[in-house]
Amino acid sequence: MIFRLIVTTVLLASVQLVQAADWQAVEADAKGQTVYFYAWGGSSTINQYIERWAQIAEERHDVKVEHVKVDDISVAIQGIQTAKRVGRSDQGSVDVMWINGENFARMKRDGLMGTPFVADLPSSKAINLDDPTIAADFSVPTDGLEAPWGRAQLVFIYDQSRLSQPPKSMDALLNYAKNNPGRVTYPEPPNFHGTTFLKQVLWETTEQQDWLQKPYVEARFEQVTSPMWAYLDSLHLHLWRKGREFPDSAEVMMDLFADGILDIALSFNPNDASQRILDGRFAPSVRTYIHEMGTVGNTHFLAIPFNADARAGALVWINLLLTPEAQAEKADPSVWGDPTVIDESRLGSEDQKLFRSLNLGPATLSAADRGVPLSEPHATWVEPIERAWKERYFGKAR
Amino acid sequence: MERALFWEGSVNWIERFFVLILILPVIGLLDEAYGRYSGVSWIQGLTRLWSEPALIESLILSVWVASVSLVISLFIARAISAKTLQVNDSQLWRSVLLAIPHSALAIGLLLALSAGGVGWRWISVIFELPLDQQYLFPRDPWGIGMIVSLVIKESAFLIAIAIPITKRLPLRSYQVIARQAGLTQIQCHHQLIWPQAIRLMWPAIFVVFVFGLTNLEVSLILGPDQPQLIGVRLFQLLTDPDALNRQAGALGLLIMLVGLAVVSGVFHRSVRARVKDRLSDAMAFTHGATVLRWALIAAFWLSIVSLLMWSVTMRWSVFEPLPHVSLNALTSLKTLASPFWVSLSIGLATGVIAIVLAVCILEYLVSKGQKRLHWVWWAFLWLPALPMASGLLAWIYFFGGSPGLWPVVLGHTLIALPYVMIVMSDSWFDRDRRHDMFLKQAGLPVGRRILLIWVPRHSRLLVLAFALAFAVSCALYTQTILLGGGRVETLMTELMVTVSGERRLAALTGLANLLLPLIAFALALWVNRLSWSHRAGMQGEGYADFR
Repeated sequence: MIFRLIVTTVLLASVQLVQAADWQAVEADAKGQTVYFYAWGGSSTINQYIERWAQIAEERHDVKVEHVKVDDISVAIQGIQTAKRVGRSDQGSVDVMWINGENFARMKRDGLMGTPFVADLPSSKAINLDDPTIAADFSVPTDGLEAPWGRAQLVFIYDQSRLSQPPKSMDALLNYAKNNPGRVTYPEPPNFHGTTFLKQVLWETTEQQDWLQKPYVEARFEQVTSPMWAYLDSLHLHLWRKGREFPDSAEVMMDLFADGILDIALSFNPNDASQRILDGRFAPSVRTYIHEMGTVGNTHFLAIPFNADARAGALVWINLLLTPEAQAEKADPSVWGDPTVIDESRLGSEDQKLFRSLNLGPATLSAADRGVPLSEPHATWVEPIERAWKERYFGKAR
Repeated sequence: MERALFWEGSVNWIERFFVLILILPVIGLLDEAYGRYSGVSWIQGLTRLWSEPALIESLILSVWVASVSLVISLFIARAISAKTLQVNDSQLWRSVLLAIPHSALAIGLLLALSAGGVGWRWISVIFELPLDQQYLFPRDPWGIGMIVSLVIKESAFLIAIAIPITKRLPLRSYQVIARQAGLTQIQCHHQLIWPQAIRLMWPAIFVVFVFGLTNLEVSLILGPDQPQLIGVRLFQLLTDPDALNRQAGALGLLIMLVGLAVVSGVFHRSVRARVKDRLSDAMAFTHGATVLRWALIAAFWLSIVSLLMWSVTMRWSVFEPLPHVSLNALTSLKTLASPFWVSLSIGLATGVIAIVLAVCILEYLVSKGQKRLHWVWWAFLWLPALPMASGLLAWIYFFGGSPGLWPVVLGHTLIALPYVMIVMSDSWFDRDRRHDMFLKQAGLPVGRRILLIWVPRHSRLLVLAFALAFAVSCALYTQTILLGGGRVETLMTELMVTVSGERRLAALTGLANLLLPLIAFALALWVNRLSWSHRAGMQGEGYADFR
C-alpha cells in the first residue's frame, strides 16, 4: 500500500515535472514572437485592459501582442477559412481570437481549430474545466479547443431615480412598454446582444425548453418559436420608434439610456453598469436587475486557429490572461468588470485575497442574486432564429 | 470647339494593363461564385441569394438613395457652377469638403442628429418638440440621413469636376448668343452651358451614382437598417464564415456589376443625346439650391461641433441643459497613436507611388500624342470597392501572398492613382508641345526633362494631387480591412470598429479621421502659396507665356 502511494506520488511528480519542462519549452519558443490577438475593439476600457496586459506580456515573456480590433469576429474566421481552402496550414494571420457560440461551433465543425491546449496551460489548474458552462459553449463541447476567459450573464439596467419598480419578466416588460410607449427597445439582431434578448424571450415564452438544448431541427422550429413571435409582434408596437428602428448594439442602447431616452438597457456583463458609474458615463442612481426566472448566461473564450503563426506565443498570452492577477484585474469594475472564470476555492490564500478585496460597485448584483444562469440554446438554433427575425421584420419599417 | 473629357481612341499597352487589373478581381469573384469553395453549383448559390429576406427592397432602397443624392448634388453643383462664372471660386472651401472622409462626416451627422444628438437637442428646443423622441433620421427607413451625408460630399466633388470643364467651354460665344436671345446670365448658364458640361462630365456623375449605390462606410453608419442597403447586405454575405453565403455574396456582386454596366450604357447614351433644360423658372430653382446649400453647410458644421462635444462628454441626459464634460475622455487618444502612424505611413506611400506612376504614365501618353485621358481611369472609380478588394485578395492568395501592409498600399494606390491622373492630366496634355521639341533638340534626356522642367513646372498641381491621394488613402475602409486581413489598423478601421461601440471613442476617432487629411490639404495649400512666389514662370497656367 505504502509502495503504491510512493509510486503514485513519484509518477504524479514526474508528470508535473514533464509538464513544467514542456511549458518552459513553450515559453522559450514564444520569446520574440508577435501574437495577433483578434478581439472586439468597441470599448475603450477593454482596449486599455488588453493594451496593459500586452505590455506585461512583452516585459515578462518577451512576447509582443498586437490587439487587432474587429467589429465582428466573422471577418477573421473568413480569413482562416480562406487560408484552409487554399491549403495554407501555417503563417495564418490570426494567432488568438476572442470567440464563443455559433462562431466556435462553426470553426470546430469546419476543422479550423488547432489541437486541444487548455489542459496544458499552467493557469488552467485554477479553473474548473468540468463546469458545464466551461465544458460546453452553447451546448457544443469545447474539448480543450478554447480557453474560458470570462463569464457573462444578461442583466437589465435601470435608473432607480426614474423607475422604482423595474419589470422582472417578459410579461411585465410588455405591460411596461404598453404603459410607457417608446421607452423600451432592444439591439437589432443579429447583433450579439439583440440575439441574446431573443433567446431570453424564447426561454420565457416557449414550452419546449428541452428542445433548445439539442441541435436545431427544422420541424420543431415553429412549435418552439411561435409564442416568441407573438410576444415580439405585441412588443414592437410599443418600442422606441415603434420598432421601426433598433439600436445597432448594446453600446448604442446604453447611450440612449444614459441620455434619458430609454428607461431600460441591457448588458451581458453584470459589472458593466458599475463600471460606467465609476467612469462617469452613468448616473450614480443606476442599478441592475434580472428576471424572476433567471437570465441567459454563458462563458466567452480564447481560441487558437489551426494555422496560427505564433502558437507558442499564443499559449503564453492566453496563460497570462488566465492568471489570478490578470483575472482579478479584469473583474474589477474600475478596469473592465468582466467576471472571472477562476474557481476561487482552487487558489492559495494570497490569490483569493485579490478577488475578495474587489469592490464590485453599487450596481452589481451578487452572484447569489443573479442565481444560476439559464443556459444558451444549442449553437445551431442561432442562425435560424436570426434569419426568421429578419424575414418577419425586415422591410416593415415604412 | 468642345473637347471630350476623356479620350475614346485605341488603347495603348498601359491602359490594357490597367484594364487587366480591373478584370482580374472580377475573375476572382467568378471563381467564388462558381462554387469552387462551397462545393455546390452556382444555382444553389443563387437560390441562397434569392432566399435572403428583403433583398429586392434593399436594392430598391439603394437605387433610391443613390439617385436622389445624385440629383440633389447635381442641382447644387449647377447653382454653384453658375455663380462661379460670375464671382470668384472658393477653392479652399471645396478642398476642405473634398478632404474630409465620408465616414468622419457621417459619424458627425449621426452624433448631431440622432436621438440625443447635439443638433437634435437644439432643434427640439427651438420647435418645442419632445426631447426624448426622434422622428426622422439618421438610420431612417428612407435613407434621408445618408442622402444628406452623400450630398455634402458629392456636390463638392461634382463642383470640382464641373468648374474646370465649364471654363473650357467657349463661354463668350454662348453669352453673346444668350444676350441676343434675351436670356439672363443664369438662364444662359442653365440652358446653354450646363447641358454641355453635363455631357462632358458623365464619367464623374456615374462615379457619384456608383458610390451612392454601393458604398459601405456611410451605409453602415447612417444607412437604413431594416433592411440595410445592398452594399451592406452583400458585404455581410461575402464576409460570412459559411461558404454558401459567400458564394451567394459573390453572385450578388457579379449581378450588381452587370447591372451597373447596363446603367452605365444608359447613362452614356442619355447624356450624349441632346440635353434640354426643362426648367421654366431657372431663378427660383437657383434660390432653392442656395437654401439647400446653406442647410448642408449648417449640417456640416453641426457634425463637426458634435464630434468635438461628444469627444469630451461623459454623459448628457436630454433633461439636463449641459453635458458632464471631462478631459479624462481624451485618455483614449493614446490608443489612436498607432493607427495614426499607420494611416500616415500608408497615406504617404500611396501618395508618393501614385504621383510617380502618374507622372511616368502621363509623360508616356504625351509622348504618344494622346490628348485626353482614356475612360479606363474612370472605370477604376466605377468598380465598387467590395468586388475589387475581394477579387484582389483572391489573387494575392493565388500568388502565394498574404494580406498585410503592402497589399493595402497596392489597393489604396489603385484607387488613388485614377484620381491623381484625372486631376493632373489636363495640365499635362495641355502643355505647349513646342517646348518638348526644343528640349529634345537641346539633347536633354527624358529623365532630366521630367525632373528639371516638367515636375517643377507642375509642382503646385503635384502637391495638390499628392494631398488628394493622401486624403483618398485615409478614407478607404473596404480595401484596408480586406487586403490587410484585419491586421492593418488605420484611423478609418478604428472608426468603423467604434461606430457601434462607445460614442465618446467614436467621436474622438471621427475627429482624428477628419483632421489628418485636412492637415494634408492645408499643408498643400500653404506650400503652394509659398513656393515659387519669386518666379513668374512658375506661377502656373501659362502665366509667364501669357505675359
